[in-house]
Amino acid sequence: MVLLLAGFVAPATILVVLALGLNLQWGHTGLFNAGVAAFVGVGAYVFAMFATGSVRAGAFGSTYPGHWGLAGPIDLVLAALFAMLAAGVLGVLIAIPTLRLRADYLAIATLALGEIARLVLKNERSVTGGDQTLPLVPRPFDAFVPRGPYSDAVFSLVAIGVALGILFVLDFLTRAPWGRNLRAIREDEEAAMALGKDAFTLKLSSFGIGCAIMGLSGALLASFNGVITPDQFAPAATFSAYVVVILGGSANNRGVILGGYLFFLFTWTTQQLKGYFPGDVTLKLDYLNQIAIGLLLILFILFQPEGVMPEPKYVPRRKA
Amino acid sequence: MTEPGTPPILVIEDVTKSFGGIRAVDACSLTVRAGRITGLIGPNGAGKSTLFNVIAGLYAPDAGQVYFEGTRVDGMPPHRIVRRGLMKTFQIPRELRNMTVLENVMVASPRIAGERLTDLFLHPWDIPMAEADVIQRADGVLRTVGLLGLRDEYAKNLSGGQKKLLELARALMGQPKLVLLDEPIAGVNPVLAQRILAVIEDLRDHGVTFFLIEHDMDVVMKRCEWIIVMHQGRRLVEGVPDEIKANPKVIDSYLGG
Amino acid sequence: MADRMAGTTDAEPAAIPSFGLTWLLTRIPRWAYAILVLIVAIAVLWALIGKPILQAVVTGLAVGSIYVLGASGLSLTYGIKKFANFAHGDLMTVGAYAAFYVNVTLSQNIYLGVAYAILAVAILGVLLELSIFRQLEGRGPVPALIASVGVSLVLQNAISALYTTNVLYLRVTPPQDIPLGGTGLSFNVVKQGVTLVVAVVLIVFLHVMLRYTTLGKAMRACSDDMDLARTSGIKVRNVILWTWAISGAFAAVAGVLLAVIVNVFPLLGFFVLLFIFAAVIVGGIGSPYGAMLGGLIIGVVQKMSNVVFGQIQNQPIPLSFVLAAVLLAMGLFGALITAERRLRLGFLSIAGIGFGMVLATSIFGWSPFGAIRIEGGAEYESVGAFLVMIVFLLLMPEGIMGAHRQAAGGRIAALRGRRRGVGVKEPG
Repeated sequence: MVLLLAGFVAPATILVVLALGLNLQWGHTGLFNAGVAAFVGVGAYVFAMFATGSVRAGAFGSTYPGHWGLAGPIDLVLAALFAMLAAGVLGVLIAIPTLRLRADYLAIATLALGEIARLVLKNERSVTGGDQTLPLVPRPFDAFVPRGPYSDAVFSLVAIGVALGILFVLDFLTRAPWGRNLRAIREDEEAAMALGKDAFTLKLSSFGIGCAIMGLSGALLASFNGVITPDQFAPAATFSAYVVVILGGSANNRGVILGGYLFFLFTWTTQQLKGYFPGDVTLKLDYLNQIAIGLLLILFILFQPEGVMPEPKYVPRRKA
Repeated sequence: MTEPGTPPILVIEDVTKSFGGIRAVDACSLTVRAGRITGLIGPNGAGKSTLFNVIAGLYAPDAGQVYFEGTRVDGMPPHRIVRRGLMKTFQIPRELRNMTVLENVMVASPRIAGERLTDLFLHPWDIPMAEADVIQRADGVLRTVGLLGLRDEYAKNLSGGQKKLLELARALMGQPKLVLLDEPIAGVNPVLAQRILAVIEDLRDHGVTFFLIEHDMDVVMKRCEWIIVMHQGRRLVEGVPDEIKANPKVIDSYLGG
Repeated sequence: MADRMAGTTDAEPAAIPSFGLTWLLTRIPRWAYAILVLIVAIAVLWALIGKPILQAVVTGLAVGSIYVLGASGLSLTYGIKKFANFAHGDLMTVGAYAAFYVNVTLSQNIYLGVAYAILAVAILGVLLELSIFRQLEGRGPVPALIASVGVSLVLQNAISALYTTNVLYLRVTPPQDIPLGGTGLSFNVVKQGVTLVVAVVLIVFLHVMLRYTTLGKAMRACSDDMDLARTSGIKVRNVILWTWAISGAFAAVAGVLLAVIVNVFPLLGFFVLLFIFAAVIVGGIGSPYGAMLGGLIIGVVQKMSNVVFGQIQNQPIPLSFVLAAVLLAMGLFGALITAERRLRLGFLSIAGIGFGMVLATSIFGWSPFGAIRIEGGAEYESVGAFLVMIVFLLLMPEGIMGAHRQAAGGRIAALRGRRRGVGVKEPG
């Protein structure tokens, strides 16, 4: 039973990491980034390229050696850091011209830019392998544990570790004055500027860090699945992330985590139920699942927009 | 007109600002001297609020310059002007709705540790202490304006008058040298208004300069040490309250000159 | 701190200078400008690439007509409800499936199918307003946007559940493409001709309705200033419902026409949603002629990108050229967008460097970094259209025929230092 769950915990945790990154942008800063899927994709591909030593000659000069001469897991950590860097840099580049746009225009612009990024990932095969997948992307402990349920379980632990690490960092950042300034911008950007906050730089850094975290989730995704296809990063994936953040609780990191696991549990349960129904119904179950999610999104926006776990109130102790 | 010897803290030279075809501010020049409360009055549409927005950096002027403490600030983004010590309050309060009153005031704090990412990553251990200091200061400011009891309330739940107090509290917290007050007591009950004015005068005594737009002539005449009158986008006259009260041009402008 | 009193300043009058280039620039209406630029682009590309560009223009006009219809419907709800309806593409899909139901399942003729589709989607739009979007009024553009995403999910998957994801075919057989004499182009009467004609007719109808009927005027009033309209005695609630109905009707027609071209499947409308958004943004929210202009421009740009990218596919491009182009673009944009003097100088210098590099590369063949190849070709057709949309979002978000255009002369003044984007309200 535990091993059954392992197959579910890992992908759920990956979604949680993604949602945490999005929460920084949307929940804390009010930036509607609709190109989420693209940053995950970039992270996944960069990680895969470095982790499998597939970065080839040509545009990048010489071949990057797949191993630094160190044992496996450290290589992968480095590859993951590169993935975060790539996604973060791409995020900053996209943000610089677009952050000035108001929320719905930003959504449209990021959606379009995300689509462009996805097309590039898909078509530039010499760099990314495009539609054909790259050689199997390794998991951190492949050398010690063969693929299978045990490997899934180990990976889950790694993923949970990563998620906790990100949570720790995000908690620190958002409780600091920096985070408070982000919320001020979310509430009223002009008022925040009238109080001396550099809105542009704050939004830019929030966006960049959020995208880096999304890149990390992409790296985890690539490592867990072993193969990546560009169509995983279509806009539909972006909407799932928003569902998690909105349902779980915008600006509440723990709420988002809860939302992520619940969302995945919901999907996973639907998958399990399939075993109990005849063939043609199982297909419909997927659609019913999505319909339910759509309805939940609508209901929450209407009646509980702050989510299941609303943003906590900041009440520090009073000095006498 | 102007007394020699009192240093100018704000100089506006030939500032023009138009919207569409309308010139809200028309080659306006004026000077505000440090350390006192200067009133800016004039009929509606005279361009007062627009001028304030230009000074505060929300608009870049179409022409002209703005000098704050000798440095040219027109065209600077608002947050940098604030950092130099020039703050503006909003006529209609812009509270940060889903944050507490305390947080609203804390946000106004000038440069503190933990606002920049470099601080956060390089020496995070400094931050809790710095935060405690900020909280203490913020509590102090709230006590001064009388909002300490509402400290942990969400700002959106405040009454109109309380929001005005919050605007003032945020201006205090920012430790500015010059504050542009856009109708600080408009729509506020007399008791609250007295409190606001008392706070302003107390700060003035501590060296903060105030430049305020206000329509309540009693208040303007009693509390301002110097009055500048604007009409149709330009400075019309300026002087001490007694002079202004008796000036026929001023009376004309209000009656529709 | 000397007491500086102003001498003369370099203030320029806000009035329009008489004659000269600026006069010319401010007199030509923006839509004429846009068409001019497009024609120039077509001409340049034709000189470089030849006939395929002209075929692209023909196809682009056809595809663009679909966008026109989609954009006009979207523009109506965007203008009056003030939010981007991400479910609009799926409304088109519903229209296509409704027509399919009547046309294939019930074996009626296609015109009945279209009528039924119009009715179905109009009613659907009204229902969505009553149940969802009415409750979200006053909460800003984002909650409604998110809700519309939810609606989109529900519609797409409901259709998939009912009809499966297989491609279905309407019972219409469009005639074959007609080759046009010695030009080497071909033309399809139904897929291109009828589509274009229907789009134009409906836009004219919309324009007439908005301009001359009571309902139309009420719609425009609500779109401009809802509160004022309400206090003027306009029954705002009903006007909104009618807007949704009309928007739905247009979506239905767009969906059916699209289905005739590419057949019926659940993501039919969703695939073109971004293009329709692009058309609305380029053309301007709230203007039917803007929707027409925007739709056709986006369609043509898309198909031309298809050809252009096909041409440069796998061709070696000097990396220095690409970098130079990027620097030039970034520099120009930055200079146009920013209002700060110092930043603008910085951006202009970046643009200058880029321009210099472009010259060096193209004239002197300077290419120190080697060449890159772009493998994707026609698949990048959306890139051209999206980039045009993004340019508009950044520089002219109100679109070509946007409602809140600046007065003539204001545009020039805006380039000289007016602060943008902070959104401060009008002078008090």
